[in-house]
This record gives sequence, C-alpha cells and structure tokens, in this order.
Amino acid sequence: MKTTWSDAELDQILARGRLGGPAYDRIFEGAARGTGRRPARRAAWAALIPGAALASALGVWALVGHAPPQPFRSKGGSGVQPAAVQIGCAAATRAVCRAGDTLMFKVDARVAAGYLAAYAVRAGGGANERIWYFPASDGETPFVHAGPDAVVLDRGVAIGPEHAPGDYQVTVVLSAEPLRRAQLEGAGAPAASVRAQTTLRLRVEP
Amino acid sequence: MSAAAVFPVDRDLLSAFRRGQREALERVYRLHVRTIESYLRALVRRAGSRDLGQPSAMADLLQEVFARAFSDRARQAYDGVRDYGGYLGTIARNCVIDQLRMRGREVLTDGSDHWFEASAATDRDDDHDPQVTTVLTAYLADLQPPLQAVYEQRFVRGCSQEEASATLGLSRRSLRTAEEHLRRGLRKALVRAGISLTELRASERPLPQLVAAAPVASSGAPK
Repeated sequence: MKTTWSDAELDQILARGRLGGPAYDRIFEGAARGTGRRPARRAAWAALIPGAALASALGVWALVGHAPPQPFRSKGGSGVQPAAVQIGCAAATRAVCRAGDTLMFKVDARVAAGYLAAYAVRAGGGANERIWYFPASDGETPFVHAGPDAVVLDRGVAIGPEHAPGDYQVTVVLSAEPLRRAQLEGAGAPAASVRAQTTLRLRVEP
Repeated sequence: MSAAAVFPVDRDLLSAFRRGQREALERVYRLHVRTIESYLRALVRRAGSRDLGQPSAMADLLQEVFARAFSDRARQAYDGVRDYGGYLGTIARNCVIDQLRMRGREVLTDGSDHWFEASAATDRDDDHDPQVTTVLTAYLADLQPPLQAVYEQRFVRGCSQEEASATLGLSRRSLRTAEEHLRRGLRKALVRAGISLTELRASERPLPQLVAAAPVASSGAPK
C-alpha cells in the first residue's frame, strides 16, 4: 500500500478539496518568483541543487540532449511545441554528461506544465533496462507550474554508475496527476492525465 | 475596505505595487486571490473542464493569473483607477482560454461571464472521495481546541500565516509546527483507515477524454 501522501495532497484533503492557506502561500511564492513549485521531498539518489548553483546552472545552461528525435507534442493535438523540455548537466561545458554530473530538467512552463515523469533507456539496450528518474524511488514526482518562463527543476539526477557510457533516450512525460512507474510501463497511463510527452537524446561519456 | 477600492485610496500601495515590492504584491494577492479562485472555478465549470477544476490544476491557474498580473508590463499597464478585480478577472479569463486551447477544447465565447457575477456563484467542490471525507471528519472531530483553531484559520478560512499567527497569538514557527502536526495526524488516520493513495486514484471517476495519449513506452521493469 502506498502511503506517501505529500504535504500538498494532505493540504488539499484538509481544505476539503479547496485551496487552503498553505496552498495560497505556495501560489504566491510561485507567482512572485515566476517559477515552479518546489517538490515536497528529495529522493535519496537525487541531488537537490542549491539556489546559487541553480542560478549558475541557468547562466551556463548547456543542452546535452541532442536534436530530439521527436519534438515535444501537446497531447491535445493542437500542435507541436519544440524545445519545451530540455535536459542538461549543470557542470557540462559541452554537450555530454559524465559520471558525477547532475542531470537537470528544464521545462518551458508557458507551454507545458504538470507532474513530470522521466526515465532513460540506453541505446541498444532492452526496453526493460530503464533508469528511472521520476517518479523517484520514494514515489515523489516533481511538479512544474504553468508560468511565464522556462523553469529548471530544483531536483536533479546524479549521474552514477548505472549510466554506462553511451547514448540514451530519455522519455519525459507531463501529466495532470502524478503517475506511478507501473502506469508508465505499458498502456496503463491514464490518457486524460497525460498532457504531453517527448523523447530526448542524452550522451554519457566516461 | 473592499479589494476593489484599495488602489484609488491607497496611492502608496499603488506606487509600491508598480515598483514590484513584495509586500505590496502580497497584499494585493491576499485581497483578491479567493475571489479570483471562485471566478476561475466558475469559468472551468462552465467550460465543462473537470480536469482544470482539480485542486492542483486550479493552483496552476491561480499562479499563472498572478504571475501574469505581477509581470512588470501588467503592473505598469494598470492605471490605478479601474477596478483591479476586473483587471485580474480579464487576466484570469485569458488564462482559462489559453488552457482550454492547449487542450483542444472550445473556448469561452460569450461575454456573459462577467467576473463578479460568476465569482458570486457557488463554488463548493463536492467531488471528494467519501472514504477520505469520513476519515477527515472523524479526525477533525477529535482535534484539541488549539489545533482546531489552527485548522480553522489555515484550511477553512485560507488565512495567510501572518494573519493566522496574529489571530491566534502564535509565532509563525509555532503555527508551522501545528500545521505539520495536522498533516502528520491526518496521514496516520488515513493509513489506519486502510486508505491507499494508489487505490484511491485508481478508483477516481475517469476524466473526460480531452486528449488522446499514446502509450508512453513498452513494458519494462523499473530499476
């Protein structure tokens, strides 16, 4: 049984499905900053990027996903939104990630928002050899607020030994509700919940 | 003082707001947020968009409305004379239209949803899981008076931490501790009642098929 009710979910219940004071507080902080909502918790493997480092990363953002094999596609069918999602390594000075780097996710919140799920599959590897990023092992899923700017998640992924050198395809899904891994492993993802998805290429070097 | 009347009589607030001072932004936000939330609920209900009425989506919409309203261009564009609630209402309506268009839905086409008329409509959300409602009701009934007071201020009235702290005579740290206590207690009550978050989501009524999503990926074992 999953019991990892997030603070935001508990706040919704306490407010009987409405927005209570804590939610109003979070909304104001997001509106005043024009940035996304912070995730409630971090996973053991995920690196929480400090604010200063995040600002630095924004300044030296390097897109390490190669030209995406398919552009970001709104599931509403209203068109294609290229480069709405990008992935990159904060420490990268060129378009690669190395062991020890932090993989980050950047979302153009003007065109895409919601709970972000992501996983990688190594090129040439089996589809069952997935490296899960989000939801994290504790079930936590980052949330991207709709907003006027691009948002870099303040939760990154430490590139560790599970990332053997090579090319990867990283699938990113944005949904109205947090999705479980099991829902993303087959045709089980609730169609109405998925707002958009894309696949990006990532290269990991030794 | 009503929210609508604050700018014409408080020129200092208007000046600080135009400069983007945080205190001014927050004061304006607190004055209007609940009315705008009600208006947004009325709009999405009219549009038949159940997913936009979900709390998380509503939080998205509200944040987008105020992010737009707090942009430098929007702050400078407000003349300080017109009803600011109506100004926000126009932004809110545009946000809903944008979201509906992104979902491939028909947009609101008539102008009869004047913002304060719509916001006056009932916005009670009755669409809760009955199991959760039962647990919540029992949990709240057993709360000690101090925690009940915190609950009332923060989750029923939707007061800010500052407002609630002042009303209850608590430090903000004590207030946050009490909120954590409320969450922790509810979490335990839900677990004791055997309510699984996973099962709860699975049992929710399916959302309207607003979009057609392809399978995300072929099957595979999570790491």
